[in-house]
Amino acid sequence: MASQRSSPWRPKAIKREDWFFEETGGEMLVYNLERHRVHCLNDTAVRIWKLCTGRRTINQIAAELPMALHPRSRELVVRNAIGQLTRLGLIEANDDGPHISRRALAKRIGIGAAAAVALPLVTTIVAPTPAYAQNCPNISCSPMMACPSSCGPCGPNPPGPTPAKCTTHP
Amino acid sequence: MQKINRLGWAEGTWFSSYGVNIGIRASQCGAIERLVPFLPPRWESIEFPRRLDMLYSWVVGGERNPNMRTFDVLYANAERLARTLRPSQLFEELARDLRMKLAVLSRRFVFIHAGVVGWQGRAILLPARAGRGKSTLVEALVRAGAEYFSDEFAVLDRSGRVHPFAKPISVHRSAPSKGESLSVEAIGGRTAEHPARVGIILVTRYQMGARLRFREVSPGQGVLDLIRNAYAARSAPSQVLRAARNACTGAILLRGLRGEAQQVVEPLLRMLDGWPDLHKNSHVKGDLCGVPEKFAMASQGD
Repeated sequence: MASQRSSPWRPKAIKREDWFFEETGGEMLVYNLERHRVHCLNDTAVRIWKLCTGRRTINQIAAELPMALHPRSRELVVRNAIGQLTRLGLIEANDDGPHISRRALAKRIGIGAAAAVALPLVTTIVAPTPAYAQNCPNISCSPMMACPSSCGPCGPNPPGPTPAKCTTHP
Repeated sequence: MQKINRLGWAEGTWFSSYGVNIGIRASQCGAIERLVPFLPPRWESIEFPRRLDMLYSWVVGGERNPNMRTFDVLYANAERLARTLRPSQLFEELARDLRMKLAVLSRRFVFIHAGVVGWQGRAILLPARAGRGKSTLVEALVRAGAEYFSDEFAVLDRSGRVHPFAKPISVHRSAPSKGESLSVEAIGGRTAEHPARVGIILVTRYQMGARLRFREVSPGQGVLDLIRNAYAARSAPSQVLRAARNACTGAILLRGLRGEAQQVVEPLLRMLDGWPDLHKNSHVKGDLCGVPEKFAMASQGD
């Protein structure tokens, strides 16, 4: 059981100088410059991340969370958040116990879908390339016209990465 | 590029649009005048700039004698954009590439792929990829009296305000088809002249027969919606992140499917009519604010 482990690990948040952090309405947006990923940490995830100072144990972090849950459930919530944040490189990695998925967490602590919004959540998207964001109408692709290298796959809805040359229209 | 520079150039001009300095040169006198209708909105002539972001070179073709026709060739810096016997194709390609380059190179503004209209001094942003029905919805909103900002770009400044980018509306009546350009005046609309703060960001796409149903999302998710459609997300991430955050602050952020454009217009505009009251309740953490309920009521009433 997670509570029996009484882990001495004191998770420490990493705030990378070369990444961009912006806070908005309790949430936090993180731009990972190496992998061009944008992460959105919800309120609970931000709160846990900020409590990871390297001085508090998981139990102590759990105790500071303003959640009306059993202490053991709170610890599971913290472990889940720390698992997600470690994978993103926002917390120093430490192989301390199994990570628990969000769905399994909701099931184990026995909360419904409505209350699950309060669980820690990190949403990640890939920052688009200009070609992916752009509108590339197929009218520009014809034997007469060179398909510009910056142009994504022709058609109304570019589905994937940018090909060097347009091949969908003869 | 040196090879292109060595070709004979008869005239050239420089202009600036949304903070991007662009040069155009042509191999024939008087040719550049024909390009003026295809330049981006808000362009203004400038003296030769210290920094030129893009240089377009047009080798003018045409009939030299009755037995010989030469191609029109267009270069963007050293890259060949078009080689055609039909100048109209070249002009379209130039206009498209200019818009694209502005979106990527502008450092003073952040370009989001979105339709934008204004209502009661607030902007309604409709970010989406191509083919999701943005232009159709923008057209319907403009016909209903909204001010036209753009059907392609939401141009955000650092404080998150939206600036107009009033190109003609491109409407695809049957996909995939060549787009038809509609001027705003032709459909009885008017173009916005001043920037506006964002009132609503609606991420929606057309689905035949879909029932109108939107849900509100958090400011963080709203920012992700904008970044998903940002041109300079990779080249200027800090500017994009900040502008998107500022745009979402205080705005109503919605996602969902829609049916026909007409179904959305009235509820959407009505939502901004009561904007100051709705805004007080917006983004109440942990429960849904009054907006979706009001919105649902409005849509049922139709």
